[in-house]
Amino acid sequence: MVVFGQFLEVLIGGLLAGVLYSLVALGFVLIFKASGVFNFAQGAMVLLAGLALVRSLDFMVARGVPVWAAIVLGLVFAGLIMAISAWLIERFVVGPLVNQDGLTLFMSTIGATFIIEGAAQLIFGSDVYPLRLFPTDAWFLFESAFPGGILVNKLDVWGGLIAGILVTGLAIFFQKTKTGRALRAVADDHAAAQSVGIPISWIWFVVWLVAGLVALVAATVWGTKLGVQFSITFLALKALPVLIIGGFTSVPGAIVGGLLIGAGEKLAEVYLGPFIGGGIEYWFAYVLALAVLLARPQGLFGERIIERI
Amino acid sequence: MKADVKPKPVIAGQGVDAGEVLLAVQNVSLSFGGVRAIRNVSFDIRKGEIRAIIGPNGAGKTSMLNVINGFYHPQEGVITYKGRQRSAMRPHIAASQGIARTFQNVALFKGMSTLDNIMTGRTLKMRRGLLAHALHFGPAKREEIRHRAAVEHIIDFLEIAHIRKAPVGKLPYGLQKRVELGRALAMEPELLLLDEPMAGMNLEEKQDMSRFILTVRDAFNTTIALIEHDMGVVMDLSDRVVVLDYGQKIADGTPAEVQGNQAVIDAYLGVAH
Repeated sequence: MVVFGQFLEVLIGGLLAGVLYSLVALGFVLIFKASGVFNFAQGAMVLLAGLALVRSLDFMVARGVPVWAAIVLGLVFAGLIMAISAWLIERFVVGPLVNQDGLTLFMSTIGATFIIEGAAQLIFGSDVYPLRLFPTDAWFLFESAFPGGILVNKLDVWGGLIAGILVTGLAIFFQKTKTGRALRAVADDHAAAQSVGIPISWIWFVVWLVAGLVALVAATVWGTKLGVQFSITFLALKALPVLIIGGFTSVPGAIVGGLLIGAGEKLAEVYLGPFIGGGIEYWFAYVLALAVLLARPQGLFGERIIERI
Repeated sequence: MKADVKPKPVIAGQGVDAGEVLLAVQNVSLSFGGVRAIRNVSFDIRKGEIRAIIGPNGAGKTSMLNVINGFYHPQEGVITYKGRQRSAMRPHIAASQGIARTFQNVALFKGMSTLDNIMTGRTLKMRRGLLAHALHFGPAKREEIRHRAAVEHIIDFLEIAHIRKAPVGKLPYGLQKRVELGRALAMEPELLLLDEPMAGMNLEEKQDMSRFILTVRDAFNTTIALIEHDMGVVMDLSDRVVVLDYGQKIADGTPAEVQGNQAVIDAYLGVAH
């Protein structure tokens, strides 16, 4: 019973941690679906959103604004910052590159990354700022069935809930709205999309705005977990294997990829660690991604790559 | 001192009668760096006609279409559409004013089904907002159904009902061309630009496509400008033909007039210099 209890605890903890990876991966999927661009700047956007939120919160709380009001205003402020940066990115980075190759756009997002990282820290500061939006203590479940119960982090549960709501909303947005269809059209072919009257600049603004808001959501959860700091940008590296496993074009894929990696790396750490010497968490995701690449290059949920020759 | 008053646009003609000029291109020049793709070309397209643009490879035909639907902005010249002079215009604005087109190398949304591809042609006609569509209630639902009906009508007309749900990337070339025509028709355009609608087709497919083009003009009263290399098709379909060579207009007239024109014969067969 103890063995099974431990297994459950590791599995649940892993799955919930995986959801947090998915949160970051979602931002990538959105941009990729709508513009065919791998957005290198997603990690930097999480940092920007987190800094804008935590610094405005601290500012207001220090001046005696009630905490609940400060949180609401802080979220609005950070959302506004993401809207402005979405507009700037569309106007000055990707907008002038309509009808260019995906690789050209990818390079431009690398440039945007450095500017966003630099500007964010210049404006909001570069220390580690603690964020307390969600409870960080733990529950102990099923204490009657398992000695000591099963430890579940409350923050991880919050993260899971938020990710669930986000995915439902995004799935409806992409599948059921004409804007969603326009987004998919733009991703496939810029010129054709323009010719049927889809205004690309507006669509791209919407895409970057939504990706910015997803970054803000990721920042609230990850910021509470790690504190808002520069290393939050490295989350992007953990999102990459999630995307490879789930498929770059699939919202559900980002979730399943995150779950597989989260659960896989924790289970491997606990059960394989003692035999091959620990530290598995750090490389497990990448090896798993490599295996998927060999078997199914488009990812588990990616659209089949169709190429007529 | 009074500021210069710009002359108001002449007749903002919404309804252009059959036989009147729908679109006029005057003294248009377009160059890319040192390459002069179009040199001082003028011609017009009249309401309800099928107007062919022909010429050897590299004559500037596709560039001309790109100028008309706003992908390219000419350095010189004036374009008048429905009686109104047009300044540099973005393609999605041209689309909203009733100019639809197909592409030389088929530009479809490969991952989407035939149905979804043609539905994108209705983008401009859909009025309900994002939220209404997301919730899929009342008016938004009725709107979606109304547009689906229009699209199904087009699908029946083009005889592509059997591939309605198929991802277009998997379809043979001839069918892709048809889907692309369907997407343009879904916009209910006033002016339809077709860039080599029959390239790479066999005889039977060409006959089908010719039939569709003629029906579109006769049944929907759509004005059509098309680029085509198959001279048989051009002579059969078109009312008037404009011939370009090295970016310049070398002939303009009925198919019979153009066929007998010495400059055209020289351009196609080459001439000893």
